[in-house]
Amino acid sequence: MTVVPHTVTVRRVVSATPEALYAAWTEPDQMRRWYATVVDADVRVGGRYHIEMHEEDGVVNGFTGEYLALERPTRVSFTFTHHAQTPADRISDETVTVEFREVEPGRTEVVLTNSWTGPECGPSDYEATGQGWEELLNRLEKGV
Amino acid sequence: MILSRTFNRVVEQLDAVFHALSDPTRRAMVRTLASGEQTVGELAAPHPISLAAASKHVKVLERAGLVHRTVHGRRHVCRLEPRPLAAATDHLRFYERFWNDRLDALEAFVSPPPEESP
Repeated sequence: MTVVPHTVTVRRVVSATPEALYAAWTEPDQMRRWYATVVDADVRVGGRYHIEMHEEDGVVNGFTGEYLALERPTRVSFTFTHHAQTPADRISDETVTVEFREVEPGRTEVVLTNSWTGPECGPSDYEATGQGWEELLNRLEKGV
Repeated sequence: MILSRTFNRVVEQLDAVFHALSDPTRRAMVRTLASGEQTVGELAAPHPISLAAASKHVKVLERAGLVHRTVHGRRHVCRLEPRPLAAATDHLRFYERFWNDRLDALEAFVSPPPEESP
């Protein structure tokens, strides 16, 4: 399987100012109240962090990374590596960038972009065609 | 890479899918079904296996949610259920869900819904 770039983007307009959102993403006391259960973060460019998200189903997802950009109050960017990731996953250059754009006073669009380089994911429209199945099975045969 | 660790149920389903597809006969059956419905007998025909063995293979595919079997009298008609594999391969959806859950929490934190008046 080849390694290709991936990007996931989610957007949300929230009733808050960019300043409030920037604080929610960069002040550990606030981050603990919504983002992650454990937050240990040296919030400055080049500073490192460790967070743990304790999910409702009991799974703990830990992440570590480094702050790449801190532009108050419009942009936060950091590297993002899962605790269980190994070289066998062939994932590299994973980053998360969060941008805050005020769309009207007190209303801000949050745009979150999670990018990485890693093994190819399948397209979502496999169910449409037998062709997709064929490709997927070929891939499975090579991968199993 | 978050997805497979967070979405346990999906992983379990994936395991079943991978197990089902780890066998060359079952993979061939899935290939055949990709082009349309087949009876168990038709699925068995190209392989040097008995009808009973073919039926066992179909059961494994059924358990993985890959195949749906309808019984018309003595004819057992199988068709492909594409959803499990579509879900299993669409990793990006899981990332979207992961981050959307985080944004739900962020939204609840920065702009809590107004208290309902009695």
